[in-house]
Amino acid sequence: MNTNFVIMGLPASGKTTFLAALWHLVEADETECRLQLDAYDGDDLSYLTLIAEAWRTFQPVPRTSQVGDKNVTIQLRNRETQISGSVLFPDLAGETFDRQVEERQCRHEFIEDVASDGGILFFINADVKEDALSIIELNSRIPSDNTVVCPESVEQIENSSSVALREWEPKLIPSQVKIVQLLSDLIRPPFTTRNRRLALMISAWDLTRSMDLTPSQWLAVNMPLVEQFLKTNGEYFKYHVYGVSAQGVSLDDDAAIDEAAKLSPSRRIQIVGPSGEGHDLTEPLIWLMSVDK
Amino acid sequence: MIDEQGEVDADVDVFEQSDTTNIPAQNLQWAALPSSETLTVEEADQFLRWRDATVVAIVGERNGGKTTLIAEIYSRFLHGSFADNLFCHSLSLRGFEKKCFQSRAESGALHPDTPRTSAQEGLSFFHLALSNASDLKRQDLLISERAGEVYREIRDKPQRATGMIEIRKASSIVLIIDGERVAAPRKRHEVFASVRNIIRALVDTGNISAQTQIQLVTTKCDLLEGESMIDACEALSGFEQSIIALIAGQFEVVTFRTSARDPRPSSEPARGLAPLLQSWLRPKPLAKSQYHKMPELTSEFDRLALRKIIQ
Repeated sequence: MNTNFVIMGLPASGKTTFLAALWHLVEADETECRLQLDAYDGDDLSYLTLIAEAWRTFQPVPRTSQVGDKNVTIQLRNRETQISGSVLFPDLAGETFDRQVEERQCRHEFIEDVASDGGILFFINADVKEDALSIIELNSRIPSDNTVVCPESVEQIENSSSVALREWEPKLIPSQVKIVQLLSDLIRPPFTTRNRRLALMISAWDLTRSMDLTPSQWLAVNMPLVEQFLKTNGEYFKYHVYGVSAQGVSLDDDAAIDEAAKLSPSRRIQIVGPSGEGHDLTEPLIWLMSVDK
Repeated sequence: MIDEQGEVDADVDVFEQSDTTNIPAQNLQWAALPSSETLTVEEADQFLRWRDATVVAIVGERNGGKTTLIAEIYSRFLHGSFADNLFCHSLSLRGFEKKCFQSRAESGALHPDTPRTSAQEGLSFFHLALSNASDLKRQDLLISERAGEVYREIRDKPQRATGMIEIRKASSIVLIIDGERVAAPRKRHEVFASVRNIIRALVDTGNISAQTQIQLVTTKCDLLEGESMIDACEALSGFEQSIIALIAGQFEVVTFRTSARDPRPSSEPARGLAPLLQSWLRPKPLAKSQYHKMPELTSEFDRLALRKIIQ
């Protein structure tokens, strides 16, 4: 079952936190997962040890841009079929994907990885900002004199209106457009074009709980361009949307951390997908590896 | 000087070492990806050889709202489906983004604007592929982008319209009528003259396909509302009828009233743009040449060709 996954996502989209939580999950075997660790083996486990330690101790997981791009290989076994193999996750810094959009360049190695990928894990941070808000939409939110408004709205409007005039530059492209650009690149040369499986991982899912949306609904509401693109490009992408809370708690909330620390670390993990809710982060990997009948 | 190991031994002035010395190694790591700007004529031509697309020519003098119209159609898809269509693909995402930015809160501006298209930029095309919301059938649009100054010139030198490739290829020619100038009595008849002159110049080239739809699109219609604008609206309707009469029997003429960026609170965004977009997506009529009668087949080679077709 040797598989090479491709991990994509803009900076701070939760790629490395996912890997840290996944490594703890399969290594600790505290909760039942569809994939389990087959062998504590590999050329160098220091990166996984480093990020998992930070994750377990409620520290910010080191950003890939600080430690350099890493290729992570984990030996896994399918609990149901007992088939074993190595699974490769190339952990690229989100800045690499920014560069792809902004400078229209990507690594040759990435093109090769995509050519032989066994599925793509694409991370999107649920903590989105309204970066495509129009001036007219913003102005329409400014309350008239006799309207009662909440303080957050006023603060947002004041912050927006105090911004100095800015010239356009590629980094100001809204996140959902950047994501569509990254996905669009995969269906044109120099990338090999074919039908791919894509697991869209909405990270920091705990932030969306009050919205009472499924991950697919969240995508339609918050990233409609991405949702439309995936819906209309079934020829190139078969996709599932998952909500993932790998950290499980805000690292700024001491009380919540104390509460979470009482649980086994694997139980901090939450994943919501097409088959329901649980702690098993290997569920999207199983779907990516499954073959159409 | 070359030393025993075959290496060049030369004095090196470290102050003259540029940062570019590492570029070849870096280039080995990084692959260039296709541009995401508006398509050049060559790129559009290349695209049309790969995939069928409908060409829409947007024509009008400067500040009429040509680019704003396109930017607002694209912007609607950032909010969800629009005009019963879903966003499918675009090879010019960055091109769209550049034109939209000054209308966004991120720009820091108080009022929305659209950067001007300069004459030096020449002709380029926005690419927008859309899928019908009901059956997901895809259709590609190539929408022209050219500076208003160039269209101003063909009023003075009509023969220049002959070389306008977007006119020859277009399924729809959109003639922009600037609603702001229609609203101003002193400018009204000049804007009508501008549109009329441009239509005359384009039609007289003989380059417009008989199946092409001429679309009179009035922009900024939010400025034409209210009792004080009754005269302006009547004048506009009269002008539209005069153009329909001018080219009656030659081309189909359709009129649209739009307000892409009505600044009033709770106004409908992109008003009138949905029917315009849908008109561009209507099935393309077959070109006249496809209706040509088969010539009489006389030689054996002709008959051989016919037998192959029947088989």
